[in-house]
Amino acid sequence: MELIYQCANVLRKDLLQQWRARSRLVAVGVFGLTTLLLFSFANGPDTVMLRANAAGYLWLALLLCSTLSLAESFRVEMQNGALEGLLLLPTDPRAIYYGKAIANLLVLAGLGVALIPVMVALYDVSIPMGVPHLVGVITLGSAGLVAPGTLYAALSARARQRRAATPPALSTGGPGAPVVGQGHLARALRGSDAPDLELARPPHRVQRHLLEPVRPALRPRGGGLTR
Amino acid sequence: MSEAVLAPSPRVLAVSARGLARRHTGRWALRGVDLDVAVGDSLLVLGANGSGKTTLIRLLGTALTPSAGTLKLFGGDAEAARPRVGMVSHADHHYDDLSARENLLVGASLSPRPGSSVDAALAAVGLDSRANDIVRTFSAGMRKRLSFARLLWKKPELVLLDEPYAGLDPAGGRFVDQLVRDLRAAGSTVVFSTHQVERGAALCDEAVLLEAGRVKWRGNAADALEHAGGPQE
Repeated sequence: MELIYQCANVLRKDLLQQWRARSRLVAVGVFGLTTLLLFSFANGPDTVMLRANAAGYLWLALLLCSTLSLAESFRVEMQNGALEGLLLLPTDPRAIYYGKAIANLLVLAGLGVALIPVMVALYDVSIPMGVPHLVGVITLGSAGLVAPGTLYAALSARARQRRAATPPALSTGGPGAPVVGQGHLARALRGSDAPDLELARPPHRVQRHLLEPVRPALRPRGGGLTR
Repeated sequence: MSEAVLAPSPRVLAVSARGLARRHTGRWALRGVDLDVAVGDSLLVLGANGSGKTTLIRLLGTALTPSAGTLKLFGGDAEAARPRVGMVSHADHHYDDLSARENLLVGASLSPRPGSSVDAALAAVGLDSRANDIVRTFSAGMRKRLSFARLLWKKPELVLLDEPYAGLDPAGGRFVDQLVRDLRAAGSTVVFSTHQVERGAALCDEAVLLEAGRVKWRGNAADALEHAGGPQE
C-alpha cells in the first residue's frame, strides 16, 4: 500500500513538472510531427506505399520521440541532485521507477494519439476499427517502449554523455514493442483483413540482398561437391 | 587516522565509523577514517579544499557508499537510519520547475515519517512570502534557505551541513548560527563542515581536521583555530 501511495505521489510530481515545462513537451511533439513529415517526403507521392507503411512510420516517430522524452524525465532528476534527495527521504526506488514510467507512458501515448490526425492527413489512411481501438494499441505499444526505456534512461542518467547514451541503450530493447505492435496498428488502420507483419520477412530480405551476390563466390567451381 | 578516535563513550553513538574510505576515479578521497559522535554532540569538520570534507558528510548521509570500512548510524544499519538524517549539501535537491511549497510537499508526501508543517518551515527561513514562486527564479541564498526549510520540516535527529554559509548574506549566516543552536537545543546531533573556523568552533564541541582524505587532528573545537592554520575566509 505504501508503494502505491509513493508511486502516486511520484507520478503527480512528474506530471506537474511536465505541465510546468510544457514547452519541452511541445518540442518533442514537433519532433514527432517532423519525423512523420520526413517519411512522407522520403516515400514520395506513392500513397499506396505510404498507407502500407503508415503504422511503421508512427512507431518509428514514437521511438525517436521517446529517446528525447525519456532522457528529459531523468535530466530534471539529476539537475540539482533531486533524485538523490528522493532516495534519502527515503523513497522506495520501485515507486520512483513506476511513477516515472507511468508519467512517461501518459506523455508518449498522448503524443501518439496527437499524431493520429497528422498521420491520417499525411498518409491518407482510414481507421476502420475505430479510434478507441487505435488508442488502445498505441497505449500498449507505448507501454512496451516506456518500460525498458525508463530503466535505460535511469541507467544512462549518471553517464557523463547521457544525451548520447540513452538512444543506443534504448535501441537495444526499445524497438521490440513497435515491432510487435506494428501488426496490430496496421490492422487498426487498414481493417481486420490486413495481413500481420511478417516478422520473418525482413531477415530474409536482408539475407537475399546481402548474401545473393556473394553466393556464387561461395559455390565450389565446376558444380561443387557433385563433380 | 585511527589514533584520532576518542575514548569510548557510555552514551549512545549517533555516528560510528570504522576505517571509512571512499575512492573516486582511482583516487582515495577519504581513507581510514574512524569517527564516533555521540547523540546530542556536535562535530566541526575542517580541512582545505579537496581534503575530503564533502565526501565524509555525504558518506555519513548515505548519499555515497563507502569503498571500505563500516558505518553505523544510531547503532544500526546506516541506510535504515535515513529517515532520521537530514543533510544540506552543495546539491540542493530542489526541482526547478516546482514552487518552494511544492518542493517541500513532494518530500512530505514521500517521507515515511511525519514532519512539521511545510508552511511553518517556510516561514522559519523567511520564504513564506515566496512560497508559491518557482524555485528557478530563486537566488543561490534563497535556494539555500529552502534547503534549511526542508531540514526544519524533516526534524532530523542527525543533521549534516556541508558548508552551510556558502552563498548566504550576513543575515543568512546568522540564521545558520541560530539554526545550529536551536537544533542542538532540541537534542539533534550536528556534523558540519565549514572554512569559517572561528564561527564553527563557537557552535561545536569537537572538531576534526582532514588532510588529503585522512584525519590529521581531532580534539576540542576551541582548539581548532590553532590546528587549522588560523582564520580562514
